[in-house]
Amino acid sequence: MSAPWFWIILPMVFAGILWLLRNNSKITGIVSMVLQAILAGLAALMPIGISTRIGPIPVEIASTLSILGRRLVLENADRSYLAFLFAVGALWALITMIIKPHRSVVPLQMVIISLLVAARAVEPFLFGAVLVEIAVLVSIPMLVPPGTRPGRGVLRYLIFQTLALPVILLAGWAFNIVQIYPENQAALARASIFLGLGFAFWLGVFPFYTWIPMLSEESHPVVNGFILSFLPFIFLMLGLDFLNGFVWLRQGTYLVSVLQVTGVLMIVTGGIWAAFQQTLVRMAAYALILDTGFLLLAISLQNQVGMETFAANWIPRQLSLILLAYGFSTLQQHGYSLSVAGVKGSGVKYPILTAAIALAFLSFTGLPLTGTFAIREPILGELSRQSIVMTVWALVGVAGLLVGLLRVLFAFFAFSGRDWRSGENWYEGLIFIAGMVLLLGAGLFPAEFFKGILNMLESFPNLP
Amino acid sequence: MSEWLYIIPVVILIGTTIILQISWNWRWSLIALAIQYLAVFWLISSVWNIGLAAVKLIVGLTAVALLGVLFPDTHHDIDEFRVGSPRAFQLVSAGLVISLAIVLSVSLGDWFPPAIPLRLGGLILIAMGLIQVGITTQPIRIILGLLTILSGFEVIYAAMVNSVLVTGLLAMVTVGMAMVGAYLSARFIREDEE
Repeated sequence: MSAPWFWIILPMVFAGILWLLRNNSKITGIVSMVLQAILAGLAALMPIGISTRIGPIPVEIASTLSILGRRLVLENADRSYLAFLFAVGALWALITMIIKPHRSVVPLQMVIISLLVAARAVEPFLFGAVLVEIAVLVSIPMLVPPGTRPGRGVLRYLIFQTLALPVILLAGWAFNIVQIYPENQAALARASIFLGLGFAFWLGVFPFYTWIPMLSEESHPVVNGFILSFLPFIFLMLGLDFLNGFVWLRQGTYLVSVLQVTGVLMIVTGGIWAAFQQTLVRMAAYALILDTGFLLLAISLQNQVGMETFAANWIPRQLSLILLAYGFSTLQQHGYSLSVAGVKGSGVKYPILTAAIALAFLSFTGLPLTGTFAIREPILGELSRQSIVMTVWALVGVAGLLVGLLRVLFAFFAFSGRDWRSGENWYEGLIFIAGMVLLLGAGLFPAEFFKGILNMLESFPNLP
Repeated sequence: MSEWLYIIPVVILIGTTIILQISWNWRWSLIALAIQYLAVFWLISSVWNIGLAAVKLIVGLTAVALLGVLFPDTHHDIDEFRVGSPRAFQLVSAGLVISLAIVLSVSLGDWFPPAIPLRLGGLILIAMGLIQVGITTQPIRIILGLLTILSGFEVIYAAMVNSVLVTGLLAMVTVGMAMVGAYLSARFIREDEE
């Protein structure tokens, strides 16, 4: 058996089985969660392409699977990334099983994860763009449940993701020309423009991110959270694959400037818009945009600190996203609307839930004691050595998000004269407390928490 | 002489994209889309063998059939759903965009190597598709616009890359897009959730 069988074909097969069982959300949720947890564990423990023994039995998982003359390749260096991806997938399956957005979500989640893993594994890389587009098309029935009208956010999401496909494929063609004629400056510029535009559409880079807050407002928090959890992760990993594979791209003088300006623009606009939002979901969307800006800044540093902070950032980001999605859904289930005015007093009735939401928001600001503090501080430190102006602007963005968070906190704990009581049920309390402990743990013991995910960088041997 | 032969499908594409832009009749829009795929096939057959080019035609017609069959309100015209946008404005914008595509097809010769008819046809489709998705909020019109953009890209890309697998994967995207269009536009009876 080869690695793509385990981490691409198997989830796809199970997605088909779960589709048949979709009327029973508990079974689909449990099967999806257990399978993804097993796949995460397998990725963490089993070497790929290296002979090992399970008891007396010699075992070797091959790295390559050939399909229709093309190759799907998952190497030993990809194990950390696979373990992380499927561990996060298992957590989303758990949340989906509890919240039950609608019955097709769990099988479609499995299909999307499988397609996204395949998108990064396929060789040549340009086929990955088509697989991503198919994943986007599969996500539409998840975002728009049967019987409901699609909102403008879903349509914009579909438009921008679809526009990325031709541009990325053209980038692949232009890259081939650059490899043949490396001195051709026009070809270099063409390839860079196509690639930059493609990733701008994919990631929702400024000014193409309007769909992110709109989608967050229209779709179910769990479904939307899942999409915003996995797509940017795979897109940025694909981006690093490009940087790792093409020396002229990573040594281009314009790359650092483009990434820094774009990153800071996303931080500033994301943070400032967050301060003025009237709904929690839109505020969370802008917080994510701000966080993506920091990820771009981390890549732009082009040194070991940048790469390590890039990798480490995914743990608090995904934890915060899961906590926010679960928190918003639970608030809705308890009868609250997700507007700032609508959650007034909820902190008094549901202190653990609201504390978890507040901590997840706080994590995006990078304040001390949160998981992102150990990540943001070195990024801003390195950035300040290169440009004080950009650093100040980045801090303005963070301050904007903090103002938004303060508004939410005031709303949560309004009417403080009432009796405090914990209205969460036992499993809600357990999940929120576990999430908060993990987020604070990442802030207090960053070295221990981020050690595992740093191995993800082994996939990019040519990057610092 | 042979290059002039391929100007005919470009003229057809101008016609079909304008119909897709201004038509308020669902049936006419689907017919225009089908003819558009025929013109795309004609253009691509200039650089690919007929068998492979025919894949684009068959896939395109499958997408049209899916939209026609799965879209439930066949008795209604699109104007029932459209947000007011006068035809005159749409015609003027289409004229401007086609003019721009003609100019770009000459000046972007260094960027896109295909011969002028393919470049021109592809750019017209992309530009008109972009206009289509930009000025409407109706799911079905957006899907028609995205299918038009993808067709335009496939015309240009066909002259640069000849890969059976890419053709197959793009065919999946086209059919998938049509299915999503039908799904988004259909008024499904809500299934009994859980």
